[in-house]
Amino acid sequence: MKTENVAERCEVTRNACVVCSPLGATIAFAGVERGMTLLHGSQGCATYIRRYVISHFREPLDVASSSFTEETAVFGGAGNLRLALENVVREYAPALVGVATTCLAETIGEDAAYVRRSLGMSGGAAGAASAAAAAGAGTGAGGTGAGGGGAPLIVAVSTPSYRGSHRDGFRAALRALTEATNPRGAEADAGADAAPCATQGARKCAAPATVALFPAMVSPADLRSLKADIGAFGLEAILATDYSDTLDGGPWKAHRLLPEGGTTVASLSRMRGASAAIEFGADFSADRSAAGFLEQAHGVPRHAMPLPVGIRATDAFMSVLSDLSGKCLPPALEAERARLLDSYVDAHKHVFGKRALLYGDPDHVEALSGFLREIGMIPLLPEGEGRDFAQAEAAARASEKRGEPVDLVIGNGKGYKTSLKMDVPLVRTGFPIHDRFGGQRVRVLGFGGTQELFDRIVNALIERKQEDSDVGYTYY
Amino acid sequence: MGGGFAVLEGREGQVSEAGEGPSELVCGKPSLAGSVSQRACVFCGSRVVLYPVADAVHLVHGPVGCAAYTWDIRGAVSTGPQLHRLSFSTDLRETDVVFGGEKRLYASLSALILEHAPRAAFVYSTCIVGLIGDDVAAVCRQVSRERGIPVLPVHSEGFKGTKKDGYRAACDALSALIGTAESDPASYRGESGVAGSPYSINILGEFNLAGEAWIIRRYYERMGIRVQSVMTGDGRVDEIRGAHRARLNVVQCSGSMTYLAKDMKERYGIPFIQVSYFGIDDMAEALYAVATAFPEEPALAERAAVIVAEELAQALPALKAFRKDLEGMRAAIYVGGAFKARSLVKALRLIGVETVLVGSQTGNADDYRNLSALCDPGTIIVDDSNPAELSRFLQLKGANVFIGGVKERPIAYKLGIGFCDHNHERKIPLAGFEGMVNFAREVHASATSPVWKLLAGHGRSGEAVS
Repeated sequence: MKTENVAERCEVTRNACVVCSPLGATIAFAGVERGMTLLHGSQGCATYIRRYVISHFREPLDVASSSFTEETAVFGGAGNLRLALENVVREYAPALVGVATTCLAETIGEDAAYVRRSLGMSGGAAGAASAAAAAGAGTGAGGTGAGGGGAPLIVAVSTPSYRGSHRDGFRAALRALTEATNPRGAEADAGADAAPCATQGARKCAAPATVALFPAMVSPADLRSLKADIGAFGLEAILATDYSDTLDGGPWKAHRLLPEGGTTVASLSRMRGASAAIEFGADFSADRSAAGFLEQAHGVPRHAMPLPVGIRATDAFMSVLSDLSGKCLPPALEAERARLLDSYVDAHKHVFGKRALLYGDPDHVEALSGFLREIGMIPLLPEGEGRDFAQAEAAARASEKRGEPVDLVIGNGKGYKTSLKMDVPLVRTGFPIHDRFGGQRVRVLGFGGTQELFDRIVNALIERKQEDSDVGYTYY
Repeated sequence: MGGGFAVLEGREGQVSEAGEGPSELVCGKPSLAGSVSQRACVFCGSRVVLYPVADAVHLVHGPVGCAAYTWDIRGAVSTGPQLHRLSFSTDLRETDVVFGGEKRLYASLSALILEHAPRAAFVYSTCIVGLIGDDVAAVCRQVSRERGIPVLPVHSEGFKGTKKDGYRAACDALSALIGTAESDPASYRGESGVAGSPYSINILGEFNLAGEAWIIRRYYERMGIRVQSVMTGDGRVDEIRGAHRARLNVVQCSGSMTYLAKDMKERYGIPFIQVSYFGIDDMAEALYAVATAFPEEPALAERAAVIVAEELAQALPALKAFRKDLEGMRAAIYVGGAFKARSLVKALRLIGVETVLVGSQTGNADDYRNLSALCDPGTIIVDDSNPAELSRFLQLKGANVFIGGVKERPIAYKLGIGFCDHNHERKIPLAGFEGMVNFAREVHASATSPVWKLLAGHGRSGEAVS
């Protein structure tokens, strides 16, 4: 997929396969313990985003808004913003408030810097609402921690809808969050570095056994499996951020406003002492990425790599974990890898030469492309900027014209209509999946996630073959 | 007022209890910043109203999000064209914000009209369009001249008011269409027997979710009424353009469409009545009220009575069976418009369910007065509520089932409370007599599910609020 600067822009976007950046920021902030998003702009942005996110995760997600009116747009939004923050703090007692701007606020010049000024926050990328919290952030505690009591950490991020897509908003929020919890010049948290290495005998273990992981917008189930993979190497993962419980949790024992789970602000502030920062995704600019900041400001080695889908990409991830831990691939993961490889062999003829249309979030498109090539399938990418299904369908039509028909569509649930039009199966992955149940539990990452994806792809192809046949074969 | 409920400062007047005496609920004001209102924005109001016009291009002039979030957002079905189910955006970028988006709007509109040959185009302005100063109306006029179809600007900048102002902007766009063409009786889409009937109506504010407009239309046609236009369910541009020839406007979603009905009364002298198609009492009344509006033809009322009798003979036994299981249960209602909420209170009562909490995003003072009079004393009545309040109230009142939309669903489920979707995404018709049976079935399926028994010890209603 080409980037915005290179690709020719279509005169109109038809059935977009991306959504806007504040949504990505909202998901990112939802992965912080007692984290809450406040969108600086119209009430509608918060509500639309809530509805869109709720329909996928089937979980509550409260997003506040500074609820612009006409007067606000004329005279400035500082008053509304402060009132919104007060109300959010009063009602929710959050540990973190992520303030993300919208296109409306940005257009009248109210960007992240304005938000910081309006809320009396200290310099840098973030600060706090009150002197107490500012002191907390300054000393490296990164806020006042969970629950009630103190003032929350406030993080401001510019996410105008006219710039990039939800993926970019997600990344921008992670960067802002990382900068806010790990200010330049702050000392690494000694406590985090004192990881015992009794089990490693004489092995050199100067590096702390902590990995800061920036996993991109993936499913809660994938987050859980990433944590398990890292844990299997004896490493501690700090996920920025971890919405595996907050957006996929159990019933509530009692009434609560913010869900349980998420990475604590204190944990986030320990990222600067991590032995490495791993960042998944496509076309990263270290200057704008969260791991890039940890490297530049705190010397944490950065490993940027595609999302681990497939054997090769997962091997690359595992090899970093192996280097960091000084351990070989743990037996359980080795066995998982072997089963995956075995299944590749068993099904290689079902998938060979099949063409799959990809679209949407570039992080996922890149990872799926690599995976498809590895199993002998041919990824097909949308034309132009790849922001809508019209461009995806154009690519499919062009392919068919070349005598290379498309066999499968892989991506979020919004590809349903495209798959209907093309009369090929859709394998649903990523975000959003509004038309099927369990989107939050769809796995694609690591050996285990790839296995699930691979099985679904093979079965989609077999199912279509079976449907198309008059014979009614019962063995495939 | 406020009933002593814990609400944010500035919202005290927006909560009350039925039976508190003469109450004037504060409503119609902008949402309190930071309150996590369930409302969306002006754009949302316009978009939901015009969405079901199926043979028009709906172009959202703004950044990608506004169009993406409203793609196929309503279950408003069409017998023919499906243009309304596509999502078009000018997808404004930073350069457009700096240099203006008019050129892009012109190119987008022209391309879409060539591609889809729509009968009209609606252009929705979003927040930033109101700021960068695009002359959307001028571009619309130019494209309309060049392409020979109506191109209507919808002034729906998100921040310029509330969802209600969006309804009004949508009504303005419809008003601009109405009266611009005559409808051809030969192209009548309903029962051919009534195509020439002198008793003609427009139905306003019925969106044909899950085919509800079709059900209602059949009732009226069985009475001998010609339905000139359903604005906007299964909507067609040409029928709207000729809507000024109908003799009566029947307003179903009063919050959104009364403005247009008043406008048509002024411009064309067409009287209007307000009805609701939810619940059997209100549905029957909606048929009788139309008959009454044409006193010169007593057969209309006679046929309405026959329809009501036939439909009730079908519905009542089914409802009785559901009532047996539901008797004594408690419901909470939070919906977009308060007029609908009244029907729901009555509908629930019919199946033995008491309403303990009722609220809406956009109700007016009249609506809330009526609700207060209708509900049992102690029922919480709330305007422009939010998840924090709703969850507190649900637990306080020990509700068993929550009637609302997608944003309310997880609130109910997390607290172990049943849920019935009475909003855009419903797939089962809930209007009309048969809709009432479906509604009862939906409530029954959720409220009596055995899964709640497994949640013992969780946040099931009645437990302490932390």
